Amino acid sequence: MKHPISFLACCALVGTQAFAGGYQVALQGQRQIGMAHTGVGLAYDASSIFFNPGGLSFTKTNNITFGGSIIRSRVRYLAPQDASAPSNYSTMTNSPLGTPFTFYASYGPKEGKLKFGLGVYTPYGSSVKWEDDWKGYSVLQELKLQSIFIQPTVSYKITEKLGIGVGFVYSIGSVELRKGIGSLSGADGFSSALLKGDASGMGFNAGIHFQASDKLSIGASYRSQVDMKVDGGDATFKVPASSVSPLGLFPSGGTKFDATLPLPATATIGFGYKVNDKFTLALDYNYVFWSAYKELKFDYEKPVNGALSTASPRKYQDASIIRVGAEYMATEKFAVRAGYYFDQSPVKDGYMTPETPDANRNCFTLGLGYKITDKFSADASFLFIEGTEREQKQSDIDANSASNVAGGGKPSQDSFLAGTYKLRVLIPGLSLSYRF
Amino acid sequence: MKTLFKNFGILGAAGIALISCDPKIDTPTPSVDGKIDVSNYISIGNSLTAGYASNGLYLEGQKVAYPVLIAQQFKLAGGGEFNAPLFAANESDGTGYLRLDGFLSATSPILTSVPRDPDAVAGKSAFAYNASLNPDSIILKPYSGPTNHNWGVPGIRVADIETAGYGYPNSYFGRMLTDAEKPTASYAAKVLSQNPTFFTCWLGNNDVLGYSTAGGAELIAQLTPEADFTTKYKKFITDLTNLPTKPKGVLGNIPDVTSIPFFTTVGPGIKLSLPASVPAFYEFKFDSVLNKVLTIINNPGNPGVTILDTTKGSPVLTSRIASLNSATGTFEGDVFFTLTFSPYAGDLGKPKGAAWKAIIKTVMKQYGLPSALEPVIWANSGLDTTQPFGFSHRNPVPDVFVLNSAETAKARAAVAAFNNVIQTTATEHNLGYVDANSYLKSITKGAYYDAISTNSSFLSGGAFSLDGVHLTPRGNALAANEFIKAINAKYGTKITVLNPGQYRGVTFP
Repeated sequence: MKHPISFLACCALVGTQAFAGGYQVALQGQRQIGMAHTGVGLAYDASSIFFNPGGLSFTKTNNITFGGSIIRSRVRYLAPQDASAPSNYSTMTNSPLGTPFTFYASYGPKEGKLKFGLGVYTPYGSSVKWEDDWKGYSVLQELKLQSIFIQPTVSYKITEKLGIGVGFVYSIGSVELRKGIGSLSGADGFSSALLKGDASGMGFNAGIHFQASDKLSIGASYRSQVDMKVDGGDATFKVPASSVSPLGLFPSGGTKFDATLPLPATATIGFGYKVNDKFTLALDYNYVFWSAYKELKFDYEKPVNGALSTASPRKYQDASIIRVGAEYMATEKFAVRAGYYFDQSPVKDGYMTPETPDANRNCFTLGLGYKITDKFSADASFLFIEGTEREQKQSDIDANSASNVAGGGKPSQDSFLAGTYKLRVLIPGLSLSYRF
Repeated sequence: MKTLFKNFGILGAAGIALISCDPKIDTPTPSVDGKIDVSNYISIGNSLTAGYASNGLYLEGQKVAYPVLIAQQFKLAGGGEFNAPLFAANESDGTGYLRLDGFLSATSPILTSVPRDPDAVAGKSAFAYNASLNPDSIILKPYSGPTNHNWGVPGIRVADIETAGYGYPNSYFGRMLTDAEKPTASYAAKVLSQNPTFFTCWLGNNDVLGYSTAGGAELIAQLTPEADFTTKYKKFITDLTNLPTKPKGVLGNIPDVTSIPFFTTVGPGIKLSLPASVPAFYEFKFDSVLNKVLTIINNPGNPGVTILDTTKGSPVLTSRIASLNSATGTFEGDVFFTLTFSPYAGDLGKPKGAAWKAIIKTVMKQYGLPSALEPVIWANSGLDTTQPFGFSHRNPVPDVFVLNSAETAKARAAVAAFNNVIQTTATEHNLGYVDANSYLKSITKGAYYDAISTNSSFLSGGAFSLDGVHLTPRGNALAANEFIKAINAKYGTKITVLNPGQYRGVTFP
């Protein structure tokens, strides 16, 4: 045939944005989770290493705390509906449980102004698994993203009312993405691609804590963007042999790839207010600089579908989260907590992906704390996240794709799937703390 | 401690209770809403309706024919059983088909013919000969399963529907009939006797397609005259809708034949490869070959005729070869090469005669000539294959491989006229209408279904099978969806659509 067989447009590999709003599930301290994950304005314990390094110098004791949560996340999908083309196709993710954890340790002289700390925590991570042959298999079948932040921290109490702190963040992680290639059918069914790699990145976390009065404390923190770089990941392809040779659409034995996933910066201002000895209120406002996430690009060592790189637009917008939480000491030993936060989606219309079918979320939290002894305490939390039902219209996808093409890019209809998505997440968690 | 565990226990129990509540979205229930009766749905049409694919009718293709998929969706909405006249499991290769077995190079696929299934064949009959459909005059074994609902008959034209005894020349129809019915049954009468409660009708493609795929060689296939098409089509649909069951249904129109990969695959490459010094190539029109061949048969020693009057080779302008305008996404130009020309496209400009050799063999087979006559035909052909193929009027491109500007215009005029008949008939009888012509044009431009790129590229486009004319399973799912949309739009039903991405395109080895 004289006709060149081109798959360029057919099966461009597109990637993922696992750590998006949706999966930036804030789970960095059980006590805080119970109170809607507030805590920037309060100096509790060593978890200030994450929430506000400035507050660490205000913590009263040295402290080691270790905790973890179990994430059960489900996304329901319903195919697009049209008056003349209704669909009863619906499916749901069957994602494995996520298990983020936190470890914080702080140390400083009892009456000193300086505190040192080490935090190891998992602020971003995701696990999304769709059925292998679901309607959107060409966009995504499964995604696993893990990241562990290691943050040595120093905090200094400048005056009795003012503390500052800063931590250096080194992040390690991994990404694994599997998707079908629907435009290429083989004898064993549809083809698929698997991208797998380790990632690392650096950043910082700084904060300031101000004890305005006995009752009111105010904190501000800034966690910098961390660019998670995958350097030399492995891309392998389960494709018909002829597409490797002689067609040369896919490199024999796969190829290496590089990619960068920006974990966005977050600025927070938080307030803590002790109504009385028993009752504490907290309010946090997060501003997440999601607009850093413009596209997801993979650079390949050897050409895939004739291209050395593929890019899929994301064009996120900055988003806000408002959190309100409360704690009530029911007895000397028992604390009960509750909270609510509203998590605004950074994803614009037409840019929802099956990796992060993101929508505005209403999040409800409950918590319990128990002082086992003077030195030991346990905290538990339960977080319920209800994503609002969100429809992605084909017309929005098409319009975005057209503007992408007009901007010199490629059509991006292969990265997005029209339909209605709804998320629900249940997260129980538990931690133990030791004070000395 | 006890209280601690108790309280954490309550929290845990609450958590487990919530785990059972997964996110839900209201999902529509498929329904005909009492608007139509799909208890006895039948499909009327040709090879596309039968599930013919990759140059053959075989079990795998029959199972995913678009009417089968429509019936599957009807069933969700309370529809009845729908049986296609499937080949039995031991006849699964049917009439044989093409299989993609590999590639000689990135641009030349190896298409292997899977032989016809001996178990599917009852015998041979001179009656059954058809150059493109049934060159080996095969009689297929009769279908013996439950009552047939898929009346898709490969090769049938509107021109043929009233022909009594049509089951003899067309064994695809013949296998749907009993021996007693064969001598007298016409397609129209047989379909009417099914008393459907609902029907889809996608007829008419072959009234243009045969002429077109034969490169406009009228010696091989002719366009159906407009008057003949109009009379037969309108009468058939009128009779159908007047049945006591008063069936409702939808009519599909005819796609512009030049928007299928059979015509759009080979030409653009030729256009690019021809040197600027060759503004035109030569095509030879077959007009009177038959009489000359017969003269040779009658006087093999000294026929005294030259088969090809090569002084008449007609120049065709290279600039008019249709190719894709990437800016508009449409094919522009009106000269098309057939997919069957692909083995010879590389011969252009070279002293080669492979294309003619193939043509002469086909003609000899068609007229049952002994192979001893081949050198005689060559000697009297008037061809000079030492001349550059296509660039010399002594070695022109055979008619059957080229649809030239005039032939394209004729085919397109016929499509427009027939579609006008189909649309007015739909209006007159208050039936649904599937604009397959417009739909196929949108595929040519390229579209996405389930985030998968779909276009009319040969092999990789996803919708068209290895013959460049008929549909892949994914193409059938797309066609089924277009019919379902037309039904919903016309009758206000809520028949649900399929996910095309879950059906395969061409299978790569």
